[in-house]
Parts: sequence; structure tokens; C-alpha cells
Amino acid sequence: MTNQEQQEPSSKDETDIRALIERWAKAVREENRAGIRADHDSEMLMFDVPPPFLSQGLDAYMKTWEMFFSCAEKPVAFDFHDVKITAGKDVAFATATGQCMDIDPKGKREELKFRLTMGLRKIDGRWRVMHEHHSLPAV
Amino acid sequence: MNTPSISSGDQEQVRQILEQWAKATRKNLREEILKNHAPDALIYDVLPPMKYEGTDAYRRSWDDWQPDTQGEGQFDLQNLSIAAGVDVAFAHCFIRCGGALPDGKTFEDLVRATFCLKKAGKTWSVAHQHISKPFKLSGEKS
Repeated sequence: MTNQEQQEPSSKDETDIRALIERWAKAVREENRAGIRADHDSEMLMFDVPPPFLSQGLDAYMKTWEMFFSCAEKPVAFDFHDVKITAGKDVAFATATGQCMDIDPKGKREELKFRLTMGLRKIDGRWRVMHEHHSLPAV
Repeated sequence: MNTPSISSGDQEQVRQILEQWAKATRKNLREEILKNHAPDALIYDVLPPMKYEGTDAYRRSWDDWQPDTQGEGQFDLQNLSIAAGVDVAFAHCFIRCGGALPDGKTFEDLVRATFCLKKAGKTWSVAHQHISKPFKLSGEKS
């Protein structure tokens, strides 16, 4: 995460969600499957960059990561900037621009910038990811 | 258990705002389309330039991408699901769009949409929307 410039002091919820996103991105970089899903709800819905059109539920969500790892250069790059968090009392959302490195079977590398929107809900005092929307291109 | 309280009234308000947005887009009612958007709304769109910071930027480029649909096109929200909290909400759906172009050809598309809203006082406004289509990666093994 490179977005250190906060215009307003962060609330505890914002800080918690920022830490959640950092943990999640780190888990992706480390190909740590348990870490990737740790803060996600079992009923979550994902709109990913490549097809399928949507992935419903945690098992389908984890399949999108297998696809991602099969196309990503190693070690995996997965970084965000412009992370903006809007946290309400029980629902929150985050937006960011992400960066990763795609590599095709012939070894051709392509840096991809993508957009991220995340929808979260506070359940039993803990923020859970209910929705992710990743898409290309970012600009 | 501290389960989130879901106010059906808020959920219904958010639904109405999104359906009004879709209707205004379908009927090309330009003054209505951004009626319930915050002035600083962040818009990730499906066509270039892909990203707008603020509704003024979005309004300025409207003519560049709005298809020259003859008459009322199709622009319908499908599978709309809303998570409305006390003061923040998000929603996701598909948008089935299409219409007839001046040369008589028709087009049809299906896109994915996420909306994020904030409540100030009793009023919800759209703070962010993200519309996209899947994008096939060159490294994809299929």
C-alpha cells in the first residue's frame, strides 16, 4: 500500500479495513490460500477481471485465485494505491487501483493495472468482505 | 449476537435510486441521471476514459460515449442485491443494455455493476459506481 496520505484522521473502522486489505494483498503475493479467504464471507460475490462473469461463494472465489496464480509472474506482484475507504457503522466500501504482472505461456510479460471495489459488512464486531469487483483496464 | 440491522426502508430507498438511475439512462434524461450522485462520486466506467473523479467530468464526456440509440434503448438492472447499513450501502447487479443504432443495426450487451452509497440525514447518494465486463488475459490457459 502506498496511500499514506489521509485527508482526515482515520476512524478505527477505516484503519481496520485498511489493515484487512493489506493482509489480503500480502496473502495473494505469498500465494497463501488460507490468508486470502480469512476475512471473506462464505456467501460473497466476486466480479473478477477474467471470465467467468461472476463467482458466487467462497469456493468459486478461490477458483479465481487459482486462475490468477496460473497467469501471474512469480514472485507474485499484487499491490494497491489510491486506497480509499468509506466506513459506516455496519457497512463499508473501499476503492483502489491495483497492479499485477501477467505472463503468457510464451513468457511474454504484461503489467496490468486494474480497478478494485470492495463491499464489506461488520458481523459480530468484525469486518467481512461480501463483495469484490476487479476490472480492467484502469485507465 | 450483534448481527447487522438491515433496514428495509433504507434498502428500498437505495433500490429506488438505482432504478431511477437506470430509467433516466434508458430514456436519456440527462438532467436526471446524476440526480442522486454525490458531486465527488468516483466512477469506474466500462468505456474509455474508464475513470471519472466527480460528476462534472462524467457529464462533460457524456456525448463521447453515449450510444446514438434510436428511441428508448434497453437498460435494465438484473439480479440487484443491496446491502444497506445505517449510513453506508453497497449493491451489485447486471445491466442488460441494448438498442437500435441509426443504421438500423441493433446491439446488446451485458455488464456488471457495483454501486456504493452514503447516507447524509435521510438521503442516500451514490458515492461510487463501478461498471465492467470480463477481460480475457493473455496468459489464461483455456
